[in-house]
Amino acid sequence: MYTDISGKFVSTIIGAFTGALAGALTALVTGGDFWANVGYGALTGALAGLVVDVSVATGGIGGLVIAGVGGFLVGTTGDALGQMWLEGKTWSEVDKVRALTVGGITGLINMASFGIGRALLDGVKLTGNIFQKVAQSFATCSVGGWLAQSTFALAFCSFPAMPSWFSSAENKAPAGAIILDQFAFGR
Amino acid sequence: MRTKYRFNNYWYVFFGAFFILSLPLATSGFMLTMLIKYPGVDTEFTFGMFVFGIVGFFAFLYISGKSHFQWVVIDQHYLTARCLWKILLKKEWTDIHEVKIVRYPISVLFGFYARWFVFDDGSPDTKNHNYILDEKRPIMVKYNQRSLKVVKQFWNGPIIGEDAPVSQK
Repeated sequence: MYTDISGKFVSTIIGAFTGALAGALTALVTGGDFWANVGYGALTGALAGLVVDVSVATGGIGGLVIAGVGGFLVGTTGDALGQMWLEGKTWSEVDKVRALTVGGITGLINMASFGIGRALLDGVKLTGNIFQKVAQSFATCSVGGWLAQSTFALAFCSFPAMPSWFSSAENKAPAGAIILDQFAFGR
Repeated sequence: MRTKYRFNNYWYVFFGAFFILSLPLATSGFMLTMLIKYPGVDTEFTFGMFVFGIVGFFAFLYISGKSHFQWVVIDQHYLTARCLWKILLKKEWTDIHEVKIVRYPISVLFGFYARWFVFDDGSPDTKNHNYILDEKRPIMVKYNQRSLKVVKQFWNGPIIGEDAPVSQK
């Protein structure tokens, strides 16, 4: 009998899958290294999903703090690093307002994911408000739930690529993919 | 034969907690590096994020210590659920009304389930949040061959649900 956790690790799994998919699409669009992008996408998607899973399982204010603060830290720091790695900026040239904006967006996405995750986890009732009804419909329809989770997982795994949204067209690979390409893949 | 057994929270939860703790540490480490490397450059932002990372680390440490770093110790007299900071629950075997195996959903979406021992002492029963223990719920331990053996060593009564088909557990 399968005896893994009784937590909701679904975001981690889907984060890895959709992260890999997003990485593959990024590689195809940008012409970057395919497997480096897939590997990076899978890793970051899984880790981002992990944060959401753990925060959902934690519940309460603690889970909300993890989701929001964790997302903000990852988004802000990731964007600042991305500007330096992708765009060759020095620290004094890094756009700090942009980094804070990316961090804020990532934190909000994580908090929204936390809210939906908790609603699903609590087995919400149809007598609740509109959000609870939506969550209930996801919970009772595996395909709908899968799509909902996939959408959120795509959002999770897209934050490392945020810096590339702002960068020049000729240099749009995610920062981490370049690092993996240079170090993990020995080039 | 050993007389005390420890059942940690899942590796997944520990790993998740360590990863969560690493986020603010990485941020503050990066900002500290920038403060040293670029003294006087955007110090307000850099120092602000550095402090935010430190505060975040201690906030996460408090939350993870309470909610993630948990374990249950079973011996011949007591069942003790601990977190990093304190004893959450301590029950004598004589406090336990019944031991049952309950099937909880791993994933609402995919219909995965896992089995848990619930040491029913009359507390309100659990909701689906299972592996995060708190003071308001009965002590629970994940079902596996090791926990089954240990429970049978100390509990002489019936284990409700043990004989149910796997599909119904």
